[in-house]
Amino acid sequence: MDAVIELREVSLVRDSTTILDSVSLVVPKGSCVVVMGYSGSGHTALLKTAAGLVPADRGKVYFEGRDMDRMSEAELFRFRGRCGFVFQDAALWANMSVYQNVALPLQFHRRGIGRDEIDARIRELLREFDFRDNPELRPARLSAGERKQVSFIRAMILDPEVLFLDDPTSSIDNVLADRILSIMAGGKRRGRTLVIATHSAAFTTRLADYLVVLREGRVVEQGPIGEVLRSSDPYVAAVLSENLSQAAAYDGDILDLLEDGGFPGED
Amino acid sequence: MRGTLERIGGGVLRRGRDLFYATGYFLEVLKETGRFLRARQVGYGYRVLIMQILFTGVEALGIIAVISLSLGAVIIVQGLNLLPQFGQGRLIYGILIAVITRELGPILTAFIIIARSGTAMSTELGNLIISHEIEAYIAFGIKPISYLIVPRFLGVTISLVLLNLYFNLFGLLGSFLVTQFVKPLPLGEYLYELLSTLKAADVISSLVKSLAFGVIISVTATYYGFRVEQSSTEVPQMAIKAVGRSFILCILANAVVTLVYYL
Amino acid sequence: MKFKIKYASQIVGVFVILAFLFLAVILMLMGVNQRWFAKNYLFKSRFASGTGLSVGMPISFKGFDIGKIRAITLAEDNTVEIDFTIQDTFYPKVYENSLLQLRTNPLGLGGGLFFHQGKTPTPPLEEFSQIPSLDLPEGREIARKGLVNMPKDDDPVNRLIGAIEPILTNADLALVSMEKLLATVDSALAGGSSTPLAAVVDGAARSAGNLGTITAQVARNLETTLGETNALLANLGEITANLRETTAALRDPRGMVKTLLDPKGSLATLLDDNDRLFLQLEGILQGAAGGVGELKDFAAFVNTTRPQLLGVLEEGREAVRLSQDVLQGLRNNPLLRGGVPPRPPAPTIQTGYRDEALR
Repeated sequence: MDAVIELREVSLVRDSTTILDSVSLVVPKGSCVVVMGYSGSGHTALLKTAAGLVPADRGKVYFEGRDMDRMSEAELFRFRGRCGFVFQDAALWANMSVYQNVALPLQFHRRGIGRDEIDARIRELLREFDFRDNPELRPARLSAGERKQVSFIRAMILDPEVLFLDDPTSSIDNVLADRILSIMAGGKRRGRTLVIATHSAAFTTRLADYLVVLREGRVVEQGPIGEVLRSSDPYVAAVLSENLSQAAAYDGDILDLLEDGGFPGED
Repeated sequence: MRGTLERIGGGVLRRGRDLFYATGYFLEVLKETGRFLRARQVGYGYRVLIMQILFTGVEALGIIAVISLSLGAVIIVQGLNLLPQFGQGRLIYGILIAVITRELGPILTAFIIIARSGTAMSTELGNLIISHEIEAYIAFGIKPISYLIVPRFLGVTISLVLLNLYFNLFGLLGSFLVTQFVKPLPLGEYLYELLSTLKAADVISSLVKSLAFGVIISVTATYYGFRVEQSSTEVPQMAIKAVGRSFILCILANAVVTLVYYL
Repeated sequence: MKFKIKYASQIVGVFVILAFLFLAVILMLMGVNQRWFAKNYLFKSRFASGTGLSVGMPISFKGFDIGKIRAITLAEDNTVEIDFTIQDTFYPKVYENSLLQLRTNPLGLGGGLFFHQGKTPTPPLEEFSQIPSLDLPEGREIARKGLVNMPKDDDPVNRLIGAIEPILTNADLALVSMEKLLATVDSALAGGSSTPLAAVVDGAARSAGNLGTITAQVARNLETTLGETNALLANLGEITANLRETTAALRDPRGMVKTLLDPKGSLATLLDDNDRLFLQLEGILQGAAGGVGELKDFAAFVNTTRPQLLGVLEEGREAVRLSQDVLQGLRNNPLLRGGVPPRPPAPTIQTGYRDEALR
């Protein structure tokens, strides 16, 4: 399979603290890579580096084989148009209404598109994500869950080929999480590539093809999810058991899946 | 000894890198401004520009009016009392123009804008970084410089030039009215003398100064706003730096333009 | 807040427009006040030296600034060429034979570049044409011919200089008159009596029919006159002595001797007489064609006496210097500062254009 995104020996240093330590990672087209680790292990940094939001201090990041550092402005702009990013804290633009937050990427990337068309697209996504509040409100007036919801809608508005989700389940309730999960699964079926940093067993079990386990910026284990699950590394086992036991309480389906001895999408 | 050398060397290198980076930032702002002006399309940036002029220019008008009115009136009253004593009554116009138009007009408006908008801009941008909103812009391919900085850069620069004009309006004409209560002076004579003394070079020097100060303030404030990295405690630190640097740079630029004027 | 957001564009629009309106009005008023858009007519002039000239120096006419110097260049022939402008409102006053005069005044009073209007009103000179300066012969020629209005000067020294100028002019006239005078005196001597001319005229009338006799007589008379050269010289010496006296009187700045200038003064009367006599004489002389050549000799003789007249003029200038010293002394307050300062050899105050005119 073609690699959509590839990281080669990527390191990231902030104030003499190593956040990522020569991380190499391949994200094949249409697959879902889940990055796991305890908080502070660098999974957010890994996601942002892979998405080209944070330039690597050492190493290279490639998108469809092109070095991101060497992309022209126009290429980079096209690349951004094909990616979506859901931030951990939603990161909505506080000085704009929900509607404007969602409309802005469209206005930038789909120039010449009519106001009605923008409106239709936004209404459709708001319905799909079951956003019931007033879209004219500013983000500050929304609950944390609603903000996250809007963040998803904003990331999806351009119908991206690659979607980066940083802790998608934080601050949302189970009902919404389920809805988002099914939307993501649907997207993946249609060939969307997903890169997710999560502690959620549901997202991991239902979406992941590959699993990456991080510890203090280093990759401890990575590979197809089946292999990683069988890893003998105690750290990996600890991380997985913690997340998956949480999964047992969280999602009944997981038990059925575990009985099958594998996860969907693993091949 | 070695430690001291290392510290000095490191400091110089860091300063050099910072200066290099700041220059690059300034050039990028200029480039994006050119692009913004060439685009000719009324987009979101235009709305930000309008708001920026509203906040920086229109809302500062009151304080500018009060300062320039009282300053102009004081100069006229003092001058009319002092200068005729040694037969140099007409010098009052030269002094008014030197003080209001050439020197204090631009620099005082700059100081007011630094205090009002410089701090506001650097704080706002710092907070945008903390809340990852800047990253969100980048993630959607929206360049923060063209989208956030250019309207502020233009807005502050335009506002400063306009406020300087208003400062002159109030300082030169408004103060005349104030003076009428203290020491009446025929308007015709006042205007004639003033306009005969006012030279094109005065107007140009004043406009060039306010233009330079607008550029300095907006670029410095946004530059330091962007220097915030992650913690909210950096926001006020950078705001303070932005204010300090803006003051110094404005005063230096003022000296340079004044020197050029007299060359 | 809501209100402002709603009308943000309008408010900002008003804010911007008012500011620019103010700027535009100020610039416009400045332009009108400082004549940015008024047409200025460009002229040229030449001076012997650039000393005292500067770019931007105003050109003054009857106390008004009517233009200014644009550029000063040193020409090929080492004269100094200036380009200067005349404001459109004063342009119609630039008649033909107008002059520029640079006055540098050691007392710092009344100096500057002055425009003197030509005497006869003409259409204004074309733009870019040359307006001569008093510095160079062309301008002096115009001044000498009296084609230009040169106003009286206001400061004491200039007034002094101004007062001397007519004397010098009169001295010039005196020179011309002396030619006539000599001729007359000569005839008078030839007649040998107190009313010799009357006798000559009578004689002429009596022997009207005998032209030849008269001619011979005149020719003889003329011969005699040529022999009287020494007497004539003495006579002339008297006249110069007179002029010397005049210059001596000049040393007293208050009591300028005006008698020479007075149209009713002695010399003028003499000249008037002289004219009448001369006309009569001339009638006879023209009858006696052979004697005309000798008259030319007289003229040549008068020419040889010119150096003496030059000496008179030098005296006049010396008088100016002395009176300047007096003024300087007054200004310095002799009681406090020790009186008239020692004068280093100074250049002539006003370029002695008369010097050159006579040379």
